[in-house]
Amino acid sequence: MTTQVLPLSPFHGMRELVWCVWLEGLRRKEFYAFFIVAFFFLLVALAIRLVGIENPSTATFVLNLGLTYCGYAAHFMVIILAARGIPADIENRTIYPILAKPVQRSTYILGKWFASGLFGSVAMLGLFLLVWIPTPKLEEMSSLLLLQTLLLQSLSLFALSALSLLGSLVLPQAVGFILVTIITFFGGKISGLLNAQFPIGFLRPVYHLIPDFTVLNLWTRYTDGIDPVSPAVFLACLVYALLLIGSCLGFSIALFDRRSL
Amino acid sequence: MRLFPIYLIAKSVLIEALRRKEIYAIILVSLIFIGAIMSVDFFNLQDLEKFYREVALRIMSVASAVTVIVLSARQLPREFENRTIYPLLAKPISRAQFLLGKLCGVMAAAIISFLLLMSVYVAGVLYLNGSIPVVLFLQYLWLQLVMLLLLCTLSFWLSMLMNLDAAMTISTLLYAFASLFSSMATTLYEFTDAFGRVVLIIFNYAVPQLVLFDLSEKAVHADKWPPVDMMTLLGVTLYGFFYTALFFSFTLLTFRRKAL
Amino acid sequence: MNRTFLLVASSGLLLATVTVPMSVDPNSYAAGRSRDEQARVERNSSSVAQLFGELRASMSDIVFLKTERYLHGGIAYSAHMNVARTVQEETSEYDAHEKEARGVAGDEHEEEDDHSGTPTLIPTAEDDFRGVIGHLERQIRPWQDPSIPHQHSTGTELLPWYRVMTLSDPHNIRGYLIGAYWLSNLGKFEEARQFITEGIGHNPEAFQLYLYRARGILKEINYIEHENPAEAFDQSPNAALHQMMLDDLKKSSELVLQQRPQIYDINPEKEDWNWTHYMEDDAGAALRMTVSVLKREGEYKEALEWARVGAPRMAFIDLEGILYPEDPKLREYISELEQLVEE
Repeated sequence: MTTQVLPLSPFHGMRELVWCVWLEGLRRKEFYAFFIVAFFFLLVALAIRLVGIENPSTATFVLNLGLTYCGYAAHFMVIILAARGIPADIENRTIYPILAKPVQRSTYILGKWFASGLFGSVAMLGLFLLVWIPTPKLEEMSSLLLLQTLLLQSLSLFALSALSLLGSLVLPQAVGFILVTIITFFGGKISGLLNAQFPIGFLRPVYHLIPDFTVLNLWTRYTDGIDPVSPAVFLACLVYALLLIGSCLGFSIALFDRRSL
Repeated sequence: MRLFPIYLIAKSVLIEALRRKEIYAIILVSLIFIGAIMSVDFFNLQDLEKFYREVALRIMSVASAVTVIVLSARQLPREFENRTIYPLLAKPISRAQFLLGKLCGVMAAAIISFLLLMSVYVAGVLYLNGSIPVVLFLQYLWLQLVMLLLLCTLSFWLSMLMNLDAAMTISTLLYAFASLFSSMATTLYEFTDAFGRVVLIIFNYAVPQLVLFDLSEKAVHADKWPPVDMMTLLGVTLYGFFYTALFFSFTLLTFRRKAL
Repeated sequence: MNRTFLLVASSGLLLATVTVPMSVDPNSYAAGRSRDEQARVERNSSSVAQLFGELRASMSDIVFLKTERYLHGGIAYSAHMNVARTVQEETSEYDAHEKEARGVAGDEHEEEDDHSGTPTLIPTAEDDFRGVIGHLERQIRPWQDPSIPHQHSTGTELLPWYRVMTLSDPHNIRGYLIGAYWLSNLGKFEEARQFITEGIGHNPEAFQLYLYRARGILKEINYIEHENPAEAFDQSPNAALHQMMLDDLKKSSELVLQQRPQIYDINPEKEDWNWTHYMEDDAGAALRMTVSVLKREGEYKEALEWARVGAPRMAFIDLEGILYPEDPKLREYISELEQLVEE
């Protein structure tokens, strides 16, 4: 009688792995950073309450500043978490017991990606509420656009999680961390600068290979009082995030598969 | 106090910092950014010096602060995590010597990266046919180094109290929003009651005001401003040294009480 | 999964990402509160903005603060944020500074402003609770007693900031306008035109860009005439420039006719951020300049047509609530032009 060994699905054990990453995060108190940032936001909110908001423009300014920094903070937290995840596991040798279990290497990558993205999304939502609830909304803004923004920002965090994992696999930890930080906050501007400085037609697509996270950031559009983006544009932004996630995860899995540990 | 053990520990920190390539990465990225600024061509306009000075000094200051925060916040937790502290402390070396060695090592790495960046900055200014206000620039360098020393001891202390991320986050917030804290304190004072004012006064003296170490604005508009007088420079230096000594003592106290 | 297949598929996905930012920009819109001058002045002059010091989220606000700082040698004053200025007002203020600066003996680049008493963001010793720390900050950062008159610098040092602003936000029309103004002030007329043309490429519906390109050309023509009186106005290359100016003015006026609200209420309390008072000023300027230039050219009939269409289109309600069904200046032009056409 022959026993047939079924190949493991890449999602086999992923739930447990995500849970492990989550618990590890709790054990290493990685959430402290979130609470410190949240506390900082609360202090600023208290200061604003003391000074008072004089006109609708100022209320919108506070909202825009708060939402922009809530997005930045969540993105930064995801970079810290995702870029350090695999190198830390290798350095502390915690990766061996995980991979000794019936877990594929691709599952390990997917688990790390999902946990970091989820953490970032939860953190962003928490910070968003801290900003959004106490700030008076004295000018008209679209609720639908707010929903679109939250969804795209969440996808942006998942895309960043994938990019950070890839960065940590391809480059030395610090280099990857710095490079991903720069791409996240300046990627769109770098493409724009290259386009303006060297406006050579066939190079334009090459410039746009640099991930542009501003495509997924609609906070200013929201506070500017502009209409929601059309379904076609929203879909395009969604596809952009998914393509980024797909390509980064694909590269990460392919590279990690052959990596000697 | 014997200096040789301090030298050995400092050397090992420096070698480790160079081996881990963080410094190279930070310098390389800063160089790319500075190169990008120099390439900002505004229809062949020549008068770009102030813009270059402002952005380049900001990049270099951020790069040096990040280097110091990352290096110093990691030193002590890693020794505990990897258990490398036990063989070290088994040797005839006091905890103060150990900490001082770590401090010297991190500062040596910071100074190397800072000076490298500064030489690039000077080369850039000269390339743009600009001039360097020598005295003001040296004063800027000095105050930045004092600030880095303060940040280093602060990160040491915080890393003994909390986890690495939290320590790095607080140090970064304190550095990145130094100017914000200053403007907030002065603005809020008018709007608060007696209790709030007491809180602000305590905040003013309890938290180091890093904005005092930033001469970059004067260095940018150097055509308008003479160098800072020596009494002010001495005052700010003593202010920085005071907090450095305070944070170093706190770290030592926490370190001594920590169960190994 | 086959590793090679995974690498190829990932590369394909990466290449596919290029299509989205090349064809879609969800942040591409001309209006918006963050770019509105009135809203910008309101928010930046508030106590909350003072609370945040130099911390801003939008490039437009950052450059706004940089302008204030650079014009005052790095000193952070607060009162310059009190009044919303149109691009015309802002540039004519710079012009006045420039002229005065040239008159100041021994210093081509600075002049004194008599707006003394304007508070600084770093308080004076009397108003500062921070004691020695406040004293040290006043020594370390650019600061001078607010009772001493301001030192104004020329604004050319700001040009790179306008470049960065338009690079990071190509829909910031004001960035193009002020940047081009400084370029033409430096005698770089062609570059100024190129800069505004770049702005038009990103914002083809922005009537102000056409108006200011026309103004720049007029300045250039005047400069050429002044420098080379022998060169006749109607000769090439001036004739080409002249035609370009006329085309721009007409395009700007056309867009005004399409975009302006039927009746504009001057009352600041009824300000609509989609059509602010500075847009209104520029809209009037576009129509009047079109009529005036055509009249100067002897194209009386065409000028009269523009004036007749434009005058009722610029109807407004004044501060006392009185409705003016026509623009008074354009009404004057109509009377003059009717006479000229008859003759």
